[in-house]
Amino acid sequence: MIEAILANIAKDFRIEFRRRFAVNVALSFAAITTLAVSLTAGGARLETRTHALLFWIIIFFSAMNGLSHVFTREEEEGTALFLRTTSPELAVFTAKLVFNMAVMAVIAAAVVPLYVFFLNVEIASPGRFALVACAGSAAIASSTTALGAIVARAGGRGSLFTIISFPVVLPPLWVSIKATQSSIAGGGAAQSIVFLLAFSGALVAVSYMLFGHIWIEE
Amino acid sequence: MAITRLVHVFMPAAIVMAFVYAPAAEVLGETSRLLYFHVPLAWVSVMAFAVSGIASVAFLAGSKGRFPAAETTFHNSATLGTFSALLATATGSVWAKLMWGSYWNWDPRETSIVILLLIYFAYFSLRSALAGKASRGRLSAAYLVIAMTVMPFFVFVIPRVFRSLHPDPVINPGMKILLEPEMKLALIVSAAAFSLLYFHLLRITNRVSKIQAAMEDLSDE
Amino acid sequence: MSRRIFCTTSTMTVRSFSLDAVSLSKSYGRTRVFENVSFSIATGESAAFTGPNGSGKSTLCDIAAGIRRPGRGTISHYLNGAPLQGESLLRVTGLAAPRVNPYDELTGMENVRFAARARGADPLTAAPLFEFFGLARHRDKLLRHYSSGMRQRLKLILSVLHDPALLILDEPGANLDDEGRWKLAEFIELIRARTALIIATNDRDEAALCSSEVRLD
Repeated sequence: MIEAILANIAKDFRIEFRRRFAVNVALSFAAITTLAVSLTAGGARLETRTHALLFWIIIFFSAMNGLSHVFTREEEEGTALFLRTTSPELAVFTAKLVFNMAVMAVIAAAVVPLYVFFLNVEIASPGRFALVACAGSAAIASSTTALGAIVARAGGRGSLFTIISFPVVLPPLWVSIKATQSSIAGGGAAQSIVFLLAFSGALVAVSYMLFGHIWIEE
Repeated sequence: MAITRLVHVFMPAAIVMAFVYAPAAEVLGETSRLLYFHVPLAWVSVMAFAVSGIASVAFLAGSKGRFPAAETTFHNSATLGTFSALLATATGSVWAKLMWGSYWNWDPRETSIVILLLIYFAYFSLRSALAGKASRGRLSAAYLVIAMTVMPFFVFVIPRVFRSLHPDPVINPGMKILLEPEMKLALIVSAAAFSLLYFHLLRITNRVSKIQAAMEDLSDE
Repeated sequence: MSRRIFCTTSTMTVRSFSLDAVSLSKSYGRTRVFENVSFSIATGESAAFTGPNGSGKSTLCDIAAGIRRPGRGTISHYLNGAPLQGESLLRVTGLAAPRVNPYDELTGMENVRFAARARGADPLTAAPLFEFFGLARHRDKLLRHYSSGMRQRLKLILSVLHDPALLILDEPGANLDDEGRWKLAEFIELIRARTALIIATNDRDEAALCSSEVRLD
């Protein structure tokens, strides 16, 4: 099983490295939106709450542009059946989850410096800020991977993924915004990070249980 | 059928009690009568969601085709839940205007009902994207199960994120509306009436779905 | 020849596979694809699924491979008496079909290595297969640069590289030239004794490679 998981991870990363589709779309969106926000803000000093809000809106929509790709690609390119005949379900899901986590890591790694630089944010607790960015991004990836699989089977129309993901992602989004605001201002974020990790854990567990039902051909 | 009879008894009773039997509240006056409609509708929308969630689990767990009827149940319950949530939002909004001066305030309860409506909206969008596909039942059931899993997190987070205007005898004892015994009784009767109505409508819509399916089968032969 | 293609010791172990399908039916909405199809197949036996286009041969192949649920009826797979499901079934089944497409962005060898690792097989067994099916020169080319004939040969390699106990070939001769078809027939003869074979086809010659027939119409 481990071998199957690793084979799938290697395969997904190799294909993405050659096509660079998901990463390009997500990164372009993240960069353009961050620049748009900073240009239209015009150097105005924003409240910490506003910063936290904008930061996570950018991350959320960048995620919506990049996270459904890993499953939709299989259906569109006609490789889904091939995948079904070679790899056990658990291996497929684990590899896709790892891939989505990596996409979120890339998005966060791009948005954090761009946002902080262009919007001139002074962060009182940078360590905590980074942790919240990681935990929040992980929560988004954890909850939307199974949803991406569902949407891929439904035809994968772009806005459908956002529509069904938004209610599910809302709790970690709220908590991340609060915790980010807190870490910019210098407060604590431990409870929020625990919440985000618990959320990720619960959603991953449910996704594993449901994945067999989502993945099988009817 | 027993439920139909009960609805015929309880619903008129609830309406009469709401307008005649229960006294007007001290501060709120006659507007307090909205209580007997708003609260049961909100309660039914939550119950409908729970029924949808449980039926989805049953549908998926009975994978060998043991509970195919569960699909009609979770779908019809979702439809009823949506109507109920819309009505709860409408009545709540009117009451909010009368009591606090504005139609919308983003307090925890108002936020929760919006989220429930968002989930239902997402569910119906998914259903229509899956129209005609054999996997529609499983995939929409899977989505409801995921939505159900997220609910406890909402319940935990919302009160911490949004300040509350809602008087809430259950969670927030400090903001009780003082309910006189007649009001309590009227509320209970109304809650029972709306719950019975929900189950009654669920049975009817399930039967309609079954008949529709049978008609389709017949038209193939 | 067997020893040259399958370098592992798997040719030495005796295995007994069986598949039982009882009353399979499949409909999509109002369209009934097929109804009440039953068959059994065991190691050493072969069955051809025949029928006009649209009769559900491909759907039946998917169900036989365990990747699609039957609408009604039951299907069970056994290896040496033990029931097979999910991952265990995957490891002993090979399916080559028009809709089962490997990855265009990977080379032939990368696809093979992926399929082998995912099934718990040894990727090295594939090298002689590339030779046998005439793809040795194209091993490290991206699949998007393969011709349709080369692609079909690769699909065949991918379906057999893990020495499956159940081999399902859906229109295996499609896109193959005469030499390709001849190699396919030769390969089938090599593995016939230790494999349960299903071929779904409209081609009389391909159907003749099997000892029994399941007609769908």
